[in-house]
Amino acid sequence: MNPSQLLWTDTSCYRYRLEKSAAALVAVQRSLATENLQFAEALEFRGSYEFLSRSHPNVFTRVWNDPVAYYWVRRAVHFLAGCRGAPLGTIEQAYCKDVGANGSVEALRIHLNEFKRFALASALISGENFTFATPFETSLPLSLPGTGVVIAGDGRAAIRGVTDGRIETSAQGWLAPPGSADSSSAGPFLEICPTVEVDGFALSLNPRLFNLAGLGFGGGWTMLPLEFQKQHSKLAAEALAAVARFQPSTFALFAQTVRAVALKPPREGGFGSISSSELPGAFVCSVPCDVYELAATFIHEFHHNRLFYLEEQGSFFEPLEEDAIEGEIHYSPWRDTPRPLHGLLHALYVYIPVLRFWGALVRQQVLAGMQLAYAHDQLARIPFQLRIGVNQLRRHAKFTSYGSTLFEQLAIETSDAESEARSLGVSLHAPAISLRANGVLRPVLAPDGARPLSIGETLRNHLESRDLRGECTREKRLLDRTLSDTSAR
Amino acid sequence: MPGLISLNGIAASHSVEIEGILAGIHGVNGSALWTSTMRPTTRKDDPPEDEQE
Repeated sequence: MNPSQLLWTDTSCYRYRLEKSAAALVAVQRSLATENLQFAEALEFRGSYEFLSRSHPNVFTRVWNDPVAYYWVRRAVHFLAGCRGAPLGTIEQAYCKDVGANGSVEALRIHLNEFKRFALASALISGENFTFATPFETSLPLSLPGTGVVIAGDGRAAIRGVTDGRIETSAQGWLAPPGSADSSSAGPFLEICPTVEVDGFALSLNPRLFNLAGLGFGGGWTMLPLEFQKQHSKLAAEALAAVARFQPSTFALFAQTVRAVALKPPREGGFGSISSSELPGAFVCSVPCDVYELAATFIHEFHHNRLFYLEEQGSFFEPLEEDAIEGEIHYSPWRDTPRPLHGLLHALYVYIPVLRFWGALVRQQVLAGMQLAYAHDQLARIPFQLRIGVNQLRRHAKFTSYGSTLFEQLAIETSDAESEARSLGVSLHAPAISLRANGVLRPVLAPDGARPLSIGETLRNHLESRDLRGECTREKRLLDRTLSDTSAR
Repeated sequence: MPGLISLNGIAASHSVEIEGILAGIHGVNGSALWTSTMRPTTRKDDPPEDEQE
């Protein structure tokens, strides 16, 4: 397989990760069987595991393809290793803090209990009956994997199981189906997540999925009424349709792998959009947003996800003195704070298809006014940022053979991106345009508000104020020469 | 969806991978615990507030 196929079109990475996470589930079960762990959660895990092992492949694949399955099994593996003395990672430590667990054994017990959500989902999908030996006590809201169904409400619930397709709780009996009179109560009730459908692909809008211990970014926004998702579902559908129309190759892969997106207000959560290596096939975006910028964000976050899939197959970086994953020390043209090499590689990867998207929109003449000005901004800005990304990684990273193969292809495609931008006649002298928190596109003004800044000026200002270690002085000189070239205006 | 799988099918066909993960859990080979080290999250910066708001 050539590097370009590996980067952009290969689909074996999706199957690989699904199978690996299922293999890890088998390993968890075998480890528990040999560890002679006598606590109730380990014994109950076995019942749920055996129920899942009997489920039809259609059912199991649907449940285990949910982003939360990977999150669950990876934590289980690490907590099991932690019980044998292995140090806990960042997420596992955060998990312990979130659930109030004192160490790996206690965290493992809590985490094994959470496996019951997969048995519950499997019973719901298959129509088979399943009753827990002891009720499943869990925090709400609880997203049921692969179903688009959420057990909503405040606090905790004790769930007995599923009978004839209905979920039974200890306190309330059968849960009210969505939309019934009882579903307005504060107690546990069922919610169905809204979906957007484009070209036969249905995308679930599910903020509850991110309500996970240890994840680190699933805050209060996951509890907002689902009405917020419904309000913005038309915008999400239009953005997804734009991806399908202007970057069909990405849409085809997106439809294969993305299981859930959550929409949130820009000011909630402290981030714009986000993906996690631990939740393959899920991401969060902020709305309101310009429709084409939201489409670009879908492309951006999808490719973060895809690079995580590729990373599952092998490390990109050789061990160095600096930590390529956590060492936030390098200038990044995309961020106001220093980034690790891993973050720079991710940005380099995701912005190449984003640039192509804006190029397709301009070539096909679908934009006008401020949207066209914003597209020109992106087409001039991104190639310069990509070049810095390539240069930074070449200066500081030590790639594995696998990582080097991918990086060198990205470097070639960065040169192609520069050619693409030149062919479209965009200029760093053009006005800089940015998306504001209210979702509106506006010119970027100088700090005194007196005049609009050019794209080149904003790039230079960023270098000036954020390249604290002077890593990119060569790029800054190059930019200065370009900006002083009045003939290019 | 990338093809159908079953838990029993994976248990039968992925013995090498399962043993590798078990070895990682049991500390026989720490590097086999999970082959890749990943960044938990990645994000875009907040959009700026609108000065005119």
